[in-house]
Amino acid sequence: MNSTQPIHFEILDDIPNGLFVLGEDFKVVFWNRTMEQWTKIARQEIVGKSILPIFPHFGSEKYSGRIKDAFKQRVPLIFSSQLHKHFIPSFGAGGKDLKTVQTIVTPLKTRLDDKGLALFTVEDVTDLSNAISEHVKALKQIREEVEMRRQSQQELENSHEKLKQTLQGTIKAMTHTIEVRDPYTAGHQTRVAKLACEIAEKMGLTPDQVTGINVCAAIHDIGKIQIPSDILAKPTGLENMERELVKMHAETGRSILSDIEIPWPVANAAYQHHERLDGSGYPQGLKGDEICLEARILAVADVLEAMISHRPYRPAISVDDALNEIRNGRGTLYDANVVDVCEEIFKDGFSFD
Amino acid sequence: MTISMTEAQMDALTEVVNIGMGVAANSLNSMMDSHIELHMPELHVATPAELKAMAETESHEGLTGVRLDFRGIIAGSGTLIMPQQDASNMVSALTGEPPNTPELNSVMVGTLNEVGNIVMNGVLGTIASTLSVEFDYGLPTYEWGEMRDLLASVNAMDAEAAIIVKALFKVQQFEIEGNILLIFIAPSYESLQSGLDALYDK
Repeated sequence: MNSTQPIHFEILDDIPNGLFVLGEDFKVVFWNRTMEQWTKIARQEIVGKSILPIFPHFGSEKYSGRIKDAFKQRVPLIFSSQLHKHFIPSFGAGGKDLKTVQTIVTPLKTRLDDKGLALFTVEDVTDLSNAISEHVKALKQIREEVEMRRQSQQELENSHEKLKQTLQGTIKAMTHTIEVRDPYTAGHQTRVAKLACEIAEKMGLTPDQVTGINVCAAIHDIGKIQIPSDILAKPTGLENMERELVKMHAETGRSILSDIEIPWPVANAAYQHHERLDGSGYPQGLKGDEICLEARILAVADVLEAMISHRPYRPAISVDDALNEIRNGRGTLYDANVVDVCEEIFKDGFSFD
Repeated sequence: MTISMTEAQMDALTEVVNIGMGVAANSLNSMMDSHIELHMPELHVATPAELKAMAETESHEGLTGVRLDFRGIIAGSGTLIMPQQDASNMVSALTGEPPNTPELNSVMVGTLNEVGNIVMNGVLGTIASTLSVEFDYGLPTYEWGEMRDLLASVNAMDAEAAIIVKALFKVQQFEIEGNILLIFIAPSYESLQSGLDALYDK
């Protein structure tokens, strides 16, 4: 449809998008009010003139080929805001901030003076673009935070592992300290720990509890550090005063260990490992459930190991005889469950070797 | 529905599509700093059974599609279909945003719409001008999903004819595979065939 009559594009002034009509000779046929406001180019300055001096990029290879195809093949074009955000430089109210625009080119069926026409619709997508940018920034921040937290978590785990190793090293050092002074205690705590852990596992204690038992057993005799070596290794029976001195190792152990912040009841275990269910033990004469579980397990393991090991004041006895002794004290001196489990363990072939 | 094309018609359509892809490649080249290599497209006329098989067997891969509908004496739609990773690589090459990042995701749809617009304009515009017909075009629509989703959106199963164009672009270090699905709705197919035959009369 060719028109030689004026085409009334003024109706496009009512539309808030930027709209202009370009002829296929790249002359501006119409420039709406919004385009005037955005570009600060008055209608009368541009209508009837080539757009190229004002917007030279229209003549570049990037744009002119596609625009000419639009006229020739009457195909619509999109100049996306992602790739052509300032296709027509458009400004906000202050006249400074460039808008981000998306431009759609629609070839018109109407021709003017036998020349093709195309409607350019310039849409302000600044707010949408900014919202998307903010969203992407926020997403990036979240990812960075997640990564930082993951790294912190990793550092914490590494730190925890180091602390665990330090603790193990410290326990070993403490074990070694007493064993250096008393050759008969050397290895005793380690063997007691081995039996006590087997008992604890068989009783169904948690892995953490078993670790605790191991630590308690490894240093339960640390209080012996205050006993003179000649008393510890005396080949004959002890005098009353010497006996009382030896008995103090439980109290001494408690006082050494009570100031150490450690996640298991090592101080209580050291203090109570000579207590007996019927109150006949020492140093406090505790009864039944007053004695912590760790001490009840230690009591059996400690006595059994001591009986089957050689001492300067008496020879070792057989495992069977030692188990008989423990069995005789089942429920009165020693925790019945612990005794039963201990017997099972030896029946299953446990050995200190 | 019986779809068939003579060898001459297929040759003619292949040539027209090739020219159209060349037009598209020129436009894409001018948008990017690097050269786009285009390989000769392969055309295949798809039967409804083949389209159904495509929907079922090729439905596990994530795809992106940009569709352009057209009306006129020949009517239907053209869809540029790319695997999601290829689409991501294309957008990355065009925008400079690193692949598989939130920044890239934020520019994907708009950029792909424009790429689809360029490619489909090239192909459909060349078909129209070569066959001396006019199309009324819609604006490109971005879609994503599995093949069955993309075929469903163009009502492929009700198409009178479907022509699948396998095109291979090489952009910078990426090899990007794009397929163009041309769907013709009734009674377009005969008009298409007549138009192709007429090329030989000229």
